[in-house]
Amino acid sequence: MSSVNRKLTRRIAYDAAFLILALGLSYLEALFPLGAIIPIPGFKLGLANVVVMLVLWRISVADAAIVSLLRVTVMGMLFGTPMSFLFSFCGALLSFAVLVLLRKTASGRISFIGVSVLSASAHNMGQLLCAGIFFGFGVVSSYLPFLLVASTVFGALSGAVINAIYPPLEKIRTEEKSV
Amino acid sequence: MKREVRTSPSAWDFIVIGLVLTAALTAALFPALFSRDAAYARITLDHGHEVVLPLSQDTVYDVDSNGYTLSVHIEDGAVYITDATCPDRVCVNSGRIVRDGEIIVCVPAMITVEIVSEKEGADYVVG
Repeated sequence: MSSVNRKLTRRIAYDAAFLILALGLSYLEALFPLGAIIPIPGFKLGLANVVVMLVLWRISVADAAIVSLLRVTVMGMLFGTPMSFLFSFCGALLSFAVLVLLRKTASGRISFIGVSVLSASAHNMGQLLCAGIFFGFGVVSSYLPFLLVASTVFGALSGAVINAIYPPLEKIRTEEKSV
Repeated sequence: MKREVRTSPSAWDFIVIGLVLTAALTAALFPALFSRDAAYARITLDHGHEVVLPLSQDTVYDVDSNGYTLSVHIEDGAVYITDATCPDRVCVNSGRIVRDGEIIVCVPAMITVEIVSEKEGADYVVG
């Protein structure tokens, strides 16, 4: 087997594993709907973003994009409606753009807490912008304060998780080095 | 190539959290920044007819729809429902709606009360 093929196979296997991990976390969130306690649409923990951030920082932009966008697509197909899929997709797109920007410019200055809070806010803004096009911005803007506070709390939580697990993960050799 | 990564909070983390919370507070305190002037309450009844009431005028409007009676109040530019004869009273518990696009729905009576900025599409305007 050529080295190029081996690299590609390894990459497909890695991305698939991370995708399953992200889907598993999304499914876990769907099992315990926070929306039942706090009735705001789009209100969720965003645990899957932990996986996306780790892939983005440890592997590459392309791999993280594959994991993030496929996760949204698969979740949309399995549990969502075309409408909810569209909103999630807009959210994921904007949130990913913010992550890539932060990784390029602010890595080393800001910890994963800030990164995660900004990415969660971007996700919610993306969703609201998309929802605003369909329902009018007047309706969706009333959710904005709640969603931003939720982004701060849950974003900081998942950021703290990454802050804690990143150093040991750094000791694991990345695929590029091991081939 | 080793990318420098930070895993302990820096001042930037707190600045970011502060900025997002400030944005949330701004959005909560100044809703007018994000929505247009609300001008009318549009009540849509079970037979599809609509009644449009101006928010500028305080009034109480009783509507009969699908066998139930609801009392729609307009007060200080806000709309709320009291005295619904429907079984679940979700509409009463919805509280006051103020902003453009906000809506109260009563499923048993098949009524929606919505705040709109234009009176287009109404069958008749009251008031």
